[in-house]
Amino acid sequence: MRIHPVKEANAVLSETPNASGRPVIAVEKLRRSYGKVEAVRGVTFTIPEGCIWGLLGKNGAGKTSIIEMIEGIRRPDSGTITVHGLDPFRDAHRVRQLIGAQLQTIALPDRLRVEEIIKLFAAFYERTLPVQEILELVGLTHQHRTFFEHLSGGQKQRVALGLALVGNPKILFLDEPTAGLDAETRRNFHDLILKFRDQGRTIVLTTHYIEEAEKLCDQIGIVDQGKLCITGSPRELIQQLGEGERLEVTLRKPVTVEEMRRLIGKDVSIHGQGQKYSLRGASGSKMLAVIAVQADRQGNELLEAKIIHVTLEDVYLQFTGELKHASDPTLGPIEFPAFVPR
Amino acid sequence: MRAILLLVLSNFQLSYRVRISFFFGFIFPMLTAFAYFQIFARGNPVLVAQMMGPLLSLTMMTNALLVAGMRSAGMRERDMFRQYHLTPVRAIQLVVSDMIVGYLTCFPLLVVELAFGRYFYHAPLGGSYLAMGVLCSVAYFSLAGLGLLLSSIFDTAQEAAVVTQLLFFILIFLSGTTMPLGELPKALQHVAIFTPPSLFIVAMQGIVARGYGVLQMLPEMAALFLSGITAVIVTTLIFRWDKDEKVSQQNRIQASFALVPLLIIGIMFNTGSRATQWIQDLKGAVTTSSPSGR
Repeated sequence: MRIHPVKEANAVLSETPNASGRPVIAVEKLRRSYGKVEAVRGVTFTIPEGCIWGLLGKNGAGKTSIIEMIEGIRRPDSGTITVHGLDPFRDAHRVRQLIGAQLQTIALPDRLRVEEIIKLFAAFYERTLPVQEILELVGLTHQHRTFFEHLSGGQKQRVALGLALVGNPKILFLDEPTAGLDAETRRNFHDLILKFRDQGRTIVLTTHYIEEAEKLCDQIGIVDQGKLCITGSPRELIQQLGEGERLEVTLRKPVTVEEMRRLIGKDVSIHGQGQKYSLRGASGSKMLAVIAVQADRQGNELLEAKIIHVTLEDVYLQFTGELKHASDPTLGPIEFPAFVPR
Repeated sequence: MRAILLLVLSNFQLSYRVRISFFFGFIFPMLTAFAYFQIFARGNPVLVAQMMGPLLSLTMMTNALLVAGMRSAGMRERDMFRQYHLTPVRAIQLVVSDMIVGYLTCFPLLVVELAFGRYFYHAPLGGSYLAMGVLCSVAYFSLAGLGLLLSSIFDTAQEAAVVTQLLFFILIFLSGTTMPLGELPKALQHVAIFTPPSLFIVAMQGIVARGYGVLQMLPEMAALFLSGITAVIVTTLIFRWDKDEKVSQQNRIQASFALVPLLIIGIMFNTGSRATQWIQDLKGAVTTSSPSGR
């Protein structure tokens, strides 16, 4: 299977001055409201060429609105957007020759076959990837004669990805591409996305799977309530939060937060109640040692303990204020020290 | 051009694969043709010739309003246009391809119906077949424009379906499709001449009964063509890619401009004697077997 290098693919690109790492998308003071709801509130960022740029946020945070405005399918109330130096509304036709986009949900005529759909959409672009290659890329070779209505949810997502790729795009927008997919399909999608990046494409990805963003993205922006809270590489974001570890403990007897504070000391942030606590500090092993000794002195006992390095999830939780996290959905908000975004 | 060709091809495939489209696009018109010629015209060749205009008009209305128009409304309702919106395809390409598909599925049917009447019932069809072909083409263009416009000016497919079907039934009775125009009350005859199917039936009468060609029928054909082109332009201008996008008051005002050519031509025809005279020719077509003019 031959993958066409993106830089060869589109003559328009040769006119654009973007070298690797230079911004291909620039968004400034972007605002959008739906009625009285301010969905996007003055968002500004740039996306460098050839990277996977992830937009992370809760449902309704404004991710899709931001992406759709960059794609040129939803008009902002104010602010400016440039894609390869072009305005996605004024130069809509040229911009859409450069981009490929996968929507969260795909709707197409039920009684068209996969191959027919890809061929149809290929007809809209000046330069395209061969249909057979698209089918191979998204793993639908065996389903090429299948009617769209007979495809599974994952296969429909693959069709959507195929349609995003068919114009051999320089920039690929993927809006929650793995939502609702099983683990294996999701892993395959991850491999595909990394492959696209390696081909020189810029990928803009929205997701609410933190581990997905951490695994795939070179740069991440966290959006909450229509505002972009922070941007940077996953490593940078974690470093800005402060290197450290989280200790999750289970005690035999319940203690109050004040009692836990007396056990562990002032420099540790505490979250939890009763028997289960999540503690965050500089060293997990030191916290563990302290709490084991102190609990024993006070007639309590440490039943279970787990040391976890600070992850992107912690950064995400800090900014979104989301109450739940993967390890224990019953946990409340983690009390991190005050943090000033760069 | 390639985009339009592929859009036409895929919509054409869909029209054969979707049962409801197949029924309204193929089965229903042929059943109607049989009913018109065998039951209403009682197999009388002269009456079959008189019935040709109303039958072809009904076939085109069914295809243009109930199939082409509703297909577009259905696609919007299911949010399919959003997928297209992400690509370089333009609204005009989608609108035009929709019309072409409708035309390609409808025109062969019209030919079959004409041939059915001419060769099976030996209907005396005067005038040139070229004129009939051109007239059918511009009439379809006008009706499909109307259908696509209607599908664009309502927020939901359900609303569009209700209004389209209402208009369909009004046009059936008002345009001379089921009742000869000449049998309508005088006031309604004046109203009828504003509608594309009536213009078509009147013009068809001119070709079939008077043996006129394209040049003689130019005013009616121009009227139909102008209304079609205006509808296409307006439909493209107010095209909505997103099902959640509501139709604005401004869009509805823009849509009303599509009716201007029909209004102007209707006034012209109402003030002249040409169309009204031909309507009178159609009077009693069903009850007598001696049509005037031939």
